[in-house]
Amino acid sequence: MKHGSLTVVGTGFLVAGQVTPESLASMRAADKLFFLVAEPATRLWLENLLPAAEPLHEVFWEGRPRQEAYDEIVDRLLASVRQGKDVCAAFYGHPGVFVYSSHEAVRRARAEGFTACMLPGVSAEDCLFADLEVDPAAHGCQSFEATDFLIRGRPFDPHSALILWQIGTLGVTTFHLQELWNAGGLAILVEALCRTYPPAHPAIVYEATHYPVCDPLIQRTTITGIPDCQVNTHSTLWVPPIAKARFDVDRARQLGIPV
Amino acid sequence: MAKRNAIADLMAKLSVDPALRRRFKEDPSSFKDEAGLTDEELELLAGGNSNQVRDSFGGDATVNCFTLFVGKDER
Repeated sequence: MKHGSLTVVGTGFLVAGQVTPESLASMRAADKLFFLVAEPATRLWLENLLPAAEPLHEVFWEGRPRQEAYDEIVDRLLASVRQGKDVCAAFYGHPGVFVYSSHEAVRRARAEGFTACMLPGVSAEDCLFADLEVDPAAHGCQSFEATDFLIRGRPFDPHSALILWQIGTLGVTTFHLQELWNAGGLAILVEALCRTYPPAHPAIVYEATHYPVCDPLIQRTTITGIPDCQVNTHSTLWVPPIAKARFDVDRARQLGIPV
Repeated sequence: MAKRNAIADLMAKLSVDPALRRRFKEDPSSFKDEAGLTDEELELLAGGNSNQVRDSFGGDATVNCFTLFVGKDER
């Protein structure tokens, strides 16, 4: 195995509060720490903790294709690993959830003969389950990236809960500074959802909190009310099940469940 | 910069200590001396408006979503 390694970790959403002890130890032990976080308190906390830490935010600028930025992050991480350094890359949320660069960097580092691994973190979905007090096991839960959900017409079961990520960026593949990247896309999303749900079916536009002094943003609405909510690039949509799924008595008997 | 660090430091402490967070919610003013913040800053933090908290870090505050997914194989 070559000298040099890569560990990718997540910082969650709550400044220092959702960094696992394992991730914190990896950040501290690294020869080089790169980070990409979504708000300034976490950035300052990281810079105080490890003054040599290097931010990755400058790869993003108005109008830049995001894929280009993600590829540049991968290149920067790999360049440091190739110098023989033990590199840690910290991304907000979970490093393996909606983070192209982390998966690709780990894959390429391994392909080049370096040790590379990803540690679990706290994702927006994890925060959602806690803050909305919903259990994905209760009725099942389907989770899709919102643009992908629309353009591929993903089949889903409305008797299970539905989670749609990135409803504030529908159809947009470039980076922008404003908080909502495609307001018009929300009307298209509503139209698609109304093919399955009644217009007055409940929905929640959710945003995890970044600060321990602030509550998460939980906007309870209906399917047709989604465009009236405060939606931004961090917003996630939760749609509860339309009804209980059919109970298969024969299958239950087959499994020995008393019916 | 010192002020921004003081607020970030308090946010970091509160985020790992639920008991401290409860104390802050009950009596933010008790943090004035130990956190080195003004009444206005404590009032802002106690107000619980995340946009205002974020903006208190200054104009170069990182305010956006970066690790958004975009499918590489569009078709």
